[in-house]
Order: sequence, then C-alpha cells, then structure tokens
Amino acid sequence: MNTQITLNEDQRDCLQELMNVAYGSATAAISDILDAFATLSVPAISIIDTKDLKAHLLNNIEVEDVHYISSQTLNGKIAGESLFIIGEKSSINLAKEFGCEEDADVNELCDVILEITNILSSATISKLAQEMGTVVSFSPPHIHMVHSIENFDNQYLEKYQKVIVIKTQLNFENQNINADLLILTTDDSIVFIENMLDKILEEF
Amino acid sequence: MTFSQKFDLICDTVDNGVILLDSNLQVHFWNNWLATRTNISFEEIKNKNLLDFFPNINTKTLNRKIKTSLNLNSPTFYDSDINKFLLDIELNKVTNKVFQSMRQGVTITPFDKESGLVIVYIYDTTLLSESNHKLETRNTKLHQIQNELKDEINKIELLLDATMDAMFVFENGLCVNTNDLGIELFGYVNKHELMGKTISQFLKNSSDLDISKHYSKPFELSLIKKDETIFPALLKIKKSIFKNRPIEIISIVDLSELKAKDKLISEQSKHAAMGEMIGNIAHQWRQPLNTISTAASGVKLLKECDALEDSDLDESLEGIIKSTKYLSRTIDDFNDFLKGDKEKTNFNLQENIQKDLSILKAMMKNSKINIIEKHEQAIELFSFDNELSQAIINILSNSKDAFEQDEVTFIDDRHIFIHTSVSDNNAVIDIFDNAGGIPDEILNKIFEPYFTTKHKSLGTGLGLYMTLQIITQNIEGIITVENKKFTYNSKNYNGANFKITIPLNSEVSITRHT
Repeated sequence: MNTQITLNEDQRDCLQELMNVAYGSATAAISDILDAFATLSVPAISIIDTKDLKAHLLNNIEVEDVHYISSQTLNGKIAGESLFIIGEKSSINLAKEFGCEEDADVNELCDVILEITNILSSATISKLAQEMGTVVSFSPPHIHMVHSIENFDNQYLEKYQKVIVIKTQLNFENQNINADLLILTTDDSIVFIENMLDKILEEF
Repeated sequence: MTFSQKFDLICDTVDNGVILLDSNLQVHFWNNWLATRTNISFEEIKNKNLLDFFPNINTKTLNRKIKTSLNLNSPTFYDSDINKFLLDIELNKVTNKVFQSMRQGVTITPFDKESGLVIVYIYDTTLLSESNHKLETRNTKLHQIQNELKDEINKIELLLDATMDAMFVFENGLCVNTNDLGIELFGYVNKHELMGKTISQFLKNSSDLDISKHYSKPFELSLIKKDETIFPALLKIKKSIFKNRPIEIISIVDLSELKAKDKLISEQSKHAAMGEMIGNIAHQWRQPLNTISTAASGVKLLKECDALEDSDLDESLEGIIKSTKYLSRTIDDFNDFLKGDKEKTNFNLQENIQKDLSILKAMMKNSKINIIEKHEQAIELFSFDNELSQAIINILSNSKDAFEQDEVTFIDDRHIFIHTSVSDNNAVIDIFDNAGGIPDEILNKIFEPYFTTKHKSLGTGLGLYMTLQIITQNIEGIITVENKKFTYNSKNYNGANFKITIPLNSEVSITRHT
C-alpha cells in the first residue's frame, strides 16, 4: 500500500478538470433522460483520512430530519463507492421530475433515488474511467433511509487509509432539489488515479 | 459447435433470465431459464411484445430504464426490495411460501444503441427477499415487544410513583431502589443519595429492629429523615427473589399527619367531655346550693327578727356543712373523671356504674329517665376505672339525648337499662333504652368521629368515637351496637343496645352475689 496517498497541486487541478468534464456529461445525460434542465455544481475534491469521514459527512452535508442515502459499489481500477444523499422533501420533488404523482409512496421515491444515483455515478465515473483509459463496472445501487449520519456506519472503513471525496450538488431548474453526491475511492484506486493523472499531465 | 450455438448454450444454462429486448418492448431473445419458469417458450414470445404476456409491467419505469441504459451506455437496475419484480412469475414452491410471485433483481444493459436493443438480466432473489421479509417481520415483532416492555416499565414506575407508600428495595441489606415518594419522605434530593444505605441508617433505634420478625405484617416504627427529624411510620416488609437474589421490599407510610389528627380529635373529645361535665355539675350543684342559700337566708331572717335560736343556727350550719361536703365530693368525682387514669387499678364494676350514675343523677332526673340496673354477679376488673366511667357516661348521655329528639318526645315512660354479666370469661355490660333505636342506615356510622344526628346544641359527634377509642384501645375490649326489641313490665319496647365486652384475666376475680 502506498504510504504517500496524497495529490499534489497539479494532480489535483487535473483531477478537478477531469471531474468537471465528467459532471458536464452527467448533467447532459440527466437533461436528456428527464427532459429537464439539471445543473451540477463544480465538484469539490478533497482527500481525507477515513477516520475523519464521518465527521466530514456530518459537517459537509446539510441533511433534513429524514434522508435517504443510496450507495453503489464501483468495481474495477477505480474502485470504491458512490454515495447519493438526499433529503425527504428534495426526493419528493425529484420524484415529480420523474413523472411520479404528488402522493408517491416510499418505494417510488426509492426507485427514483436509485435511478438518479445510477445515472449520476454511471455518467461521472464512466466518463472519468474513459478519460483514464479504463472501465468501471457498477453493482446495483442500494438505499438506506437514515435519520442521522451517526447511524450510517461502516465497520470496514478502517481498511482504507484515505478516501477521495468528490462532492457536488445537484440542482434542477425551477425545482427545489438539493442533493449531494460523494465518490469515495479506495487506497489502491487513489494510487491508480495518481498514476493516470501523472500520465495525462505528461501528455499535455 | 458454432459460436452462435455456444452462445445459445451459455444463455440457456445460466441460472438467470436473459431477454434481448428493443425499446418497443419486443422480445428478440428469451432464454430457457425464463421459458421453464413462465411456461412461455421462446417460439411463443419471439418478436412479440412483452406486454402481451405480462400486461402488468409498469411501462413508464421500464421505458425509462431502457432509455437511460442506452443513453448512458451503462446498466440500469431494478431493486427487488423496491420494485419487487419485473415479470410476474408465480412461484412453484409449495411449502413455506412467503411470496406468491418471484422476487427479482433486474439489470438492463445496453446491447445496441442504434437499434435500441438492451439485454435484460433477471435474477431470482426470492430467497434473499424471504429472509429479509422474515427479518423484517421479526424486527417489527421485536419492536412491538420492546414497546410493550417499555410501556410495562413505565406503568410499573407510574404505579410505584402513584402509590401512597414510599417504596424501598434492599438487596444484601443495602438500598438499591426507591420511588419519588421515598426520596421525598426522607428529605433527599435524588435517588442517588439513598443508594447503598443500610436499613439501620433510616431507623431511630437501629437495634430495635429484627427484620425477620416483621415479614409481611405491618408494624409501627420511628424513622429518621436526612435532617435528623424523627417521624412515626407504618412499615411493611416483603421478602422476595429478584434475579435469583433475595431482596426485601419495604413500603413505608408516614403516620405524622394521622397521629396529629388523632391527637387533635382526642383533645377535642376532652373538651367536649368537659363541656358536658359542666352541664352535669350545674344540675348537680343546684340542689345543694339551694339548700345553703335557704339555710343562710333563714338564719339571716331569724337574726333580723331577733328570733335566732342556737338550735336553729346549729341546724342551718349543719345543713350548710353537709351541702358543702356534697359539693366538694361532686368536684372530686368530676375531677377524677376528667383527669383520666395513668395506671390500671382493681375496681368493682357495679361501684363504677354507681359512681357514673351519681354524676348523671340530676340530669337523668331532669329528663325524667328511670334507670334500671341488673347485676348478675359482682365483677372485679383490673383496668382503667375512670376511662371506663367516661365510656359508660358517654353511652348514658347518648341515650338521654335520644329521648330528647323530637321524634320520641311522646314517650312518657323513659327507661335506661344497665345489665352486667359474665360470659365466656368476659365481663359484659349491656346498656339499652326504649328511645326507639338508631336508624339502620346510620347504625354502622355512629362510632365515626364528627358523626352526629343530634342538634348542634346537643352533640359534638365525638362522644361515641371517644367511647370506641377507650373501649378498644385502652380497655382492650369490644363495643357493639344494635337495635333491640324487648318487654318490660308486660310492655313492648324497642331501642338501641350498646354492648361492652371486657376480657377478664387472671388478675380479675369474680365473686358471687351473696
């Protein structure tokens, strides 16, 4: 395991650029699929110690009382997990965007959230993977309904030293939808990403 | 084997459903797994619309997922927990069937974007869903039980706090729990302060208590508060087993208020008795005072007329001395009666009754009441002489008052009977009258404090209550009341009958009337 898991300024800039492109394509995909104009905020990239992840989530995510967290495992050279976190109100608005009725039940909401998670992670990670000359395979996403980040636990978190957290906000035009997408990558993936970033930087 | 044959073999032997579907939902491939489970062969469904066979499919969702998959060039999914299934396939399972239809996880993978083809993979997740379902059911049940348990605990705590008693639980002689009342009663702020204290730390005289002698039966004791004030209390100790460990549950009732009330009633009774006595004294004194006054006036008149003989003076002075002696004696009688007894003494029951009657003589005469005594034998008692007098006088006064009630003023021949006898080693005093008796509905209330049917000028409502206290607590006897019909001198009467039963012990001797 690489003990120097960190990104230098150039690497960070490059990753930011790649992510911007990836998120651009995700935005386009959403707009295309839903016939609605969605925007994703410029992704904020940070590399943090895994032990600080929970505190980081608590600090960085504005959650309403009840929120849904859907996670999807990423397999391949870029491995890890994508987390999509959305509050109940936003998820109801999101469901409307997907053509659901006003009184959509929990299952419908979950289906919509899973769909958007899949769309966002597929669009972004696939694009990023493509830029890095690799392929990522996605496992079906799963959803949890949690009342606090506190009860979102992962006992194997210690397996990893660091995670790259890529945070973005999803906004729909004229709709009050706010959600956060986090992409958490494993140590080995960070090393892979680092190497690929260096390669890309060399080519420029 | 050609590549196509190999491909078909793989598709027909994988343990999941494979459909090649276009965006119009037309089926282009249908593998053996699906054919055997749906009983629809590939030939049957080939180039047909999936909806012709499965009309219940949510087309909006399916179309969206196909479109997304093709657009993103990435798989989309159906979650078996949320979407349950894509194709409604009845399960062939017979036993332990939780679901009617197969639960499915579905992955839709783009096949050819140009021709809008996707591959639909269907996985049978029934087993997993069943486990989840069972877990959920158990979880719900567990929550229900947990809530019920919480309710029960709340109920018990509520009960514990709602009870009038302070409750303490001791384990190995140390306090391990108490209720709010317990904390309050002993003047503590919180439960924590009381934990670990020993029973003796709550007792005034710790050496006095042998707990083992008091199991299950309530007893009175003096206890100490945090600020070291002492208060009377009623305790009940129950031995029990909790988690295989012996514990003692002690309930405590503060008797301070009750004792204070008792004292107040007792004082009030004393005052009431004194009031009645003053009435009696007034009656008793009128006659001798008249005698003195008459004698003195006579002497004065004779002196003025210079006709006062020595013999007249002697006679008059003799009369005055006799009367003052009588007055002095009555004062002694009343005094004895009022000051009560400090110790038990031996006395004769008939003499006691005579003394009581002498106090009441004037009053009875005034009310034209005839007293008829009947004593079967001489009875010696070892008890409180004056207290018994007070009780008997109270009953006699009560009878006298009964004759004064408006409803019975027509009774001309007024009698009060006093019978004494011995029965089963008990002295029995029956006091009954012909004043008509006590109405049945109040018969069991007349010994209660402050209960009176009399006009305010007559009763305080404490006389019979005091009588009950004296007989039961001091004399250690029994007093009952009933209405009685009887014949006297060939005439039928009815009235109230008070019966006092006093146990005779070895210290009491009975002598036959000679």
